[in-house]
Amino acid sequence: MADAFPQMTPSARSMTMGDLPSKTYRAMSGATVRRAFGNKKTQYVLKLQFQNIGDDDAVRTPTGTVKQILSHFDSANGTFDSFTLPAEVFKGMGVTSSAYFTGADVSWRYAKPPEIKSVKAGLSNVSVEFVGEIDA
Amino acid sequence: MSENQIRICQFIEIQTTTKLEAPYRYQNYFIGEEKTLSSISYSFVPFEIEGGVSSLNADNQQVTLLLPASEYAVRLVEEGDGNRLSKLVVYTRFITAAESIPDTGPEEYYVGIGASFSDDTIELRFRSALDGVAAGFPARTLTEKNVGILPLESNLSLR
Repeated sequence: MADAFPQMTPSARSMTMGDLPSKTYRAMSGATVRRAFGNKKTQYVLKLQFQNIGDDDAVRTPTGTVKQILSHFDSANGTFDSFTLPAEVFKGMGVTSSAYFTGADVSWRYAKPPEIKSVKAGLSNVSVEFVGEIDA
Repeated sequence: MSENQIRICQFIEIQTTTKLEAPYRYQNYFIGEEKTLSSISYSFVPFEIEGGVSSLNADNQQVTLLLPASEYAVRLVEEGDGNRLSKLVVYTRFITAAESIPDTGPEEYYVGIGASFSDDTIELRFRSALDGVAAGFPARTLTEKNVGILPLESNLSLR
């Protein structure tokens, strides 16, 4: 497991709750039967945006830097290794609600490499997307 | 109300040819948990069993046990001499909404016939332990006297 994601509070955040792995049989009549394949939810999604953060040096504290995110992506071996998410990522969200995303069963990984958009010299917007799955 | 939610857990017991005294026991529904069936403990492994087909031709039923290409799957193949003649028992149990496991349910027996590897999976292939009796039986002539009225244009199926 890689180190935890940097303690950075995002400018925007969107989340999708995990779901039970299942398939649905739908008859021609429209009647459905569902089969569950496991007893735990998986495929959580968390998208974060960090706007106007410094590339190498933080312009405000504690916003963090692009370098921190890239360094973490590098140390997590890209999308391969799992890691935990710090409380700062969920800042502003009720603790009980965010607890659904921080359960011990959920392992977080990058869903894809971070996307960086330069807005002016030394400042960038960064988007990261994580996927939360259950390790076997 | 009809049953419109299904939760199926497969419990498997694999007896390899080189370790007859210590069969491997796994289940594939309760993630990361150890579950007991008939007082025997089964640990979680993310496997799938697929491909079982029954036919009237008395062929052996063949199934494939699909596993991630992990260390324990390689061990199963190696200790089973390439999964040749390993023994597999599959217990299928319908789990309740409260996650209780019934003691009774389908029980099937298979014998290993080989394995194949890919970059991320290992397939263990099995066939059913019992085959149907095919040609040469019964060594008697079918007549209306011993089987009743014979069909004129239909196939006969011996079972």
